[in-house]
Amino acid sequence: MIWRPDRAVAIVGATLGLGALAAVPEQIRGQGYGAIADVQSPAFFPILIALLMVAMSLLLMAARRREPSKPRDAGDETGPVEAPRRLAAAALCLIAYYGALELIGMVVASILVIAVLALTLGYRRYGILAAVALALPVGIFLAFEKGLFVLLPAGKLF
Amino acid sequence: MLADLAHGIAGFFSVVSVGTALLGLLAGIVIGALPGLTATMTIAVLTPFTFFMETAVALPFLLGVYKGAIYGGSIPAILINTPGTAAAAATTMDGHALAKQGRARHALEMSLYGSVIGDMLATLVLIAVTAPLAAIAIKFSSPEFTILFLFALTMIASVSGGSILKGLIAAAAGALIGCIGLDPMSGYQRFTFGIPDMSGGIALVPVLIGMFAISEVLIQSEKKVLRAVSAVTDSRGTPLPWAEMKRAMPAILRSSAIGAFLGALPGLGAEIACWVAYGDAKRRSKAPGLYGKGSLEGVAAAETGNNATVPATLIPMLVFGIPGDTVTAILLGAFMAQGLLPGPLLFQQHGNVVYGLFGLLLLTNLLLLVFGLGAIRFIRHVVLIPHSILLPCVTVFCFAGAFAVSQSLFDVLVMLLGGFAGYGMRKTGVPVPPFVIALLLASPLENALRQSLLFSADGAWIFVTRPIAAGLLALFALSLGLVAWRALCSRRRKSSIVATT
Repeated sequence: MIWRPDRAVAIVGATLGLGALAAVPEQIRGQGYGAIADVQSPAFFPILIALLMVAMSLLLMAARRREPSKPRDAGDETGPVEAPRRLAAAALCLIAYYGALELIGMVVASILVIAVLALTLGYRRYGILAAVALALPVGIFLAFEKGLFVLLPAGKLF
Repeated sequence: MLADLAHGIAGFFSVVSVGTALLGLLAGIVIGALPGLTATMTIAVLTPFTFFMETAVALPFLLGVYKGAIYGGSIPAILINTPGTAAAAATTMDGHALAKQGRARHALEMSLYGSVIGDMLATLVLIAVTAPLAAIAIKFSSPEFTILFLFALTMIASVSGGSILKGLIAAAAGALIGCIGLDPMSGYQRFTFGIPDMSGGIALVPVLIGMFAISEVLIQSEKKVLRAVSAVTDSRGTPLPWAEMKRAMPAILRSSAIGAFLGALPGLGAEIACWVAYGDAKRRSKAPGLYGKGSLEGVAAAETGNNATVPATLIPMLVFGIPGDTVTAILLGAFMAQGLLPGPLLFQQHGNVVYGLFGLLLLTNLLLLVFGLGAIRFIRHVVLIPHSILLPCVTVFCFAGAFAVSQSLFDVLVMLLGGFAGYGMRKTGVPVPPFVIALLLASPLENALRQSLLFSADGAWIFVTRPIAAGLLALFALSLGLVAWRALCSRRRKSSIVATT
């Protein structure tokens, strides 16, 4: 399987660097690009780093053009996704969990996310799943709120 | 030094601190034994829990976790041929082969003894060198620190992934994210986009949890088969004969030295030390043919090498405030949360804490020996917990931990975005360590660089006119040259392989 992610990395890197440079005048109070010559300017370091990032991204782009693409090594994490639907479902679970924290609170949201995510990932021992889904969020809640005196997100509904 | 150590131990030791170190050690062994849950991920997830504890409780707990997780990784490597942590990858080479021959207990005990001896010797090195190094480092000023920070970042970027350029891009991205918030010199806001939560900068711990734990959840989720393990090798049997231990001692001592040396260098952690120690032991062995087929010496070398890095990685962190790897980057965050700023002044201001921790490191080694032997008998069932139930539990810990840092949902969002970014980086082969260490070092690097240039009459010449700075710069240039030369050789070799095939 041939996989060439380097071009994507170079493009994202260059975009981030150029984006940071473009944001300097707006995001660092009236500082212009001349700040690169003024070490006292708050824009000095960000401009320097953004320029370095753009330069290295361009170098990566140029270097990869000269180099032949190579097959993936065993155990390599790069490369195409094996189970895209499951990945998308897991990612959606995480986003929904974040959204649910404010609405239904940490405990209820955690019970739901453990159940849904475990089922998504293929866990089918329902008794154990129910026990874990109930015990862990309650345990974490008690450890944080009663043991460490740290409040966890409380929901608007519960 | 011995007096300082005794004073630190007397002031810092208590039933609670030893108890929490033990608790951390046990948690580390169990979590490290779960394949896929790395030492970095474990510490990242557990660190927020310690923010609300006393120093004498929080730091022993985390150091116990670190030590336990690195050792725990060897258990599944031997029993099910799957390393619990990346640092145990070399252990699978011979460990599982021995287990298949019915010698799992021999391999597990050799791994434990090697781990304890390597860790103990490296802890003694740590105790011996940190105070003298800190006495030298106290003479360092902004130009020296600028070069040191750049040196550390460049080294980490160079060795932590396949491509130096990708490592440098990751480091630059981390430094850019580190610029968000208030400018350390003028107090102006930078890149906050009018979001009040961003004015204090991006919190490190949520990013770390996201990058290491949430990205792992995503990486595991995309796999077609989630860790299918059919059987675990029996870990019972006869104890390791003394003659075997004696035979492996030279390899253990050499691997201790290798681990301690590599651990002290930025970027070269346990994951690399285990392979270097294994390779060295094989090269010098009287029976190199046994390597890969079931060599106890091989298990000893790999495990000693990776555990010896644990105390050694604390050397650059404690002396210069430079994390040598991702675990120490998280530990640095935990130290700072406790009001301890690692660096040369730490020994003057909080010497009792530092020496107390050294004492605890020695003690937890002995505890590792005792509880490791117990773990060998009882932990074989833990390695079989399926990922499909483990990952949802890890997710809940991540969200609770990220929120607890400053009780803000914004931090949870940062963690989530960090998780997706970490996933993207891992999928495209961009190393994560340079990113997180640059995020951590961005502010001190910027301060040191700007102060150096501000107070210099000759601009950038200040980096070559000061003797210590010039010496460090020469070392930096030499290391860069070496890395570039090795990269060039490697590229030529790959090109010739591609050409011949």
